[in-house]
Amino acid sequence: MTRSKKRLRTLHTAGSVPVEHDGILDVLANLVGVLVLVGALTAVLAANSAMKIKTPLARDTKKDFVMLQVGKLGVWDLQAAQERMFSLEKDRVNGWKRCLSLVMYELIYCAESMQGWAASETVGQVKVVVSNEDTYITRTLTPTEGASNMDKDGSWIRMKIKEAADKNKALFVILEKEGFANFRIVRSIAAEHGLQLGWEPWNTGESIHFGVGGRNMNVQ
Amino acid sequence: MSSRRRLTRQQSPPISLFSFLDILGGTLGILILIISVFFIQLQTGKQIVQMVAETSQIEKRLPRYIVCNGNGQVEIHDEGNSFKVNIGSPKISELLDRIRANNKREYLIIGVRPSGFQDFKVLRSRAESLGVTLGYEPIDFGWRIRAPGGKLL
Repeated sequence: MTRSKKRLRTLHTAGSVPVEHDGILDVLANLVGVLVLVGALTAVLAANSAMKIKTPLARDTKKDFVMLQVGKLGVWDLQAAQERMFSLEKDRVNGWKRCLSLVMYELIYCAESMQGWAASETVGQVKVVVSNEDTYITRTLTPTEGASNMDKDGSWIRMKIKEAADKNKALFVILEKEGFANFRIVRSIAAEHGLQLGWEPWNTGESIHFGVGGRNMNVQ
Repeated sequence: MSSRRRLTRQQSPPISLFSFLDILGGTLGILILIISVFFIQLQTGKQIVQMVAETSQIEKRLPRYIVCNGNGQVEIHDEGNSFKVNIGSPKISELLDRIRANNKREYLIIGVRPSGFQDFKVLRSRAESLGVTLGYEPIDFGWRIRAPGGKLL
């Protein structure tokens, strides 16, 4: 060990070079003060801020509806399925009407054949069932548009809502309990186009039955 | 004498502020943690929502609020008072009757949680059968409600 190094070590061990903490203390104390202020402001903001949701009243409309189902996975287009269901229902009724116009034996034969009349199809991502006993549509597991694409420019739901707005229709959403976030996307797009919207809570995956005794669709 | 005083000054022990550094450093860490927690809470689904009456379509009326939490539990926010009751509580009937009596000045907003669909349908039927004007709104599970003038539930 050289002589100068020996001397330096002697100086250190003797504590003759004091370490100054004043500067660091100043900086840290200021930081603490600023952070206390920021924390207090954040707490006040967190306590007082609330996201405002505008809730309009439910009311009837004379407009035609475009029907959608919204769930966790995305959105289903019920419109095409609903139209197909009405078409099949019309076929069923016409079949019965044709029977009633026949003479006795032909009528019996026709009625027997109509007793077992039933149709089942899948239109897009929605299953359609029409029979003498029941008429309903049920969504499949795959949505018409997935949740990840709904908010994008040029998405299917954006085009669908724009089309509905252009045709002066109203929107009706069958809402599943897991689909609240996606519903808000649909509603914000509808609001952009000034489209009237109604919704109905629905058990996940449950069939939608059409006929007498149900609720009328309305808008909010 | 003077040489003795100088000696005393030179030999006085230096004040060490090193422990203060530890304390301040610890305080800094805690504050950063608290602020981070606040921000994370604000960002992740624990929002506070306020249901505001949309009166553009109708004459101006005062809204009353009922939130369906599911399992028969509802929250009532009425004229600055907020309380939790059961769906069968007479307080709901009282509120509905009062809104019906003041139907031109008041209406009902029903908040619907994901688990509250069934209660909502029951409540809506009751309100509709009484001729109460109403609106309804889906409210996410984690959201807390602040009705105008009411306390946070």
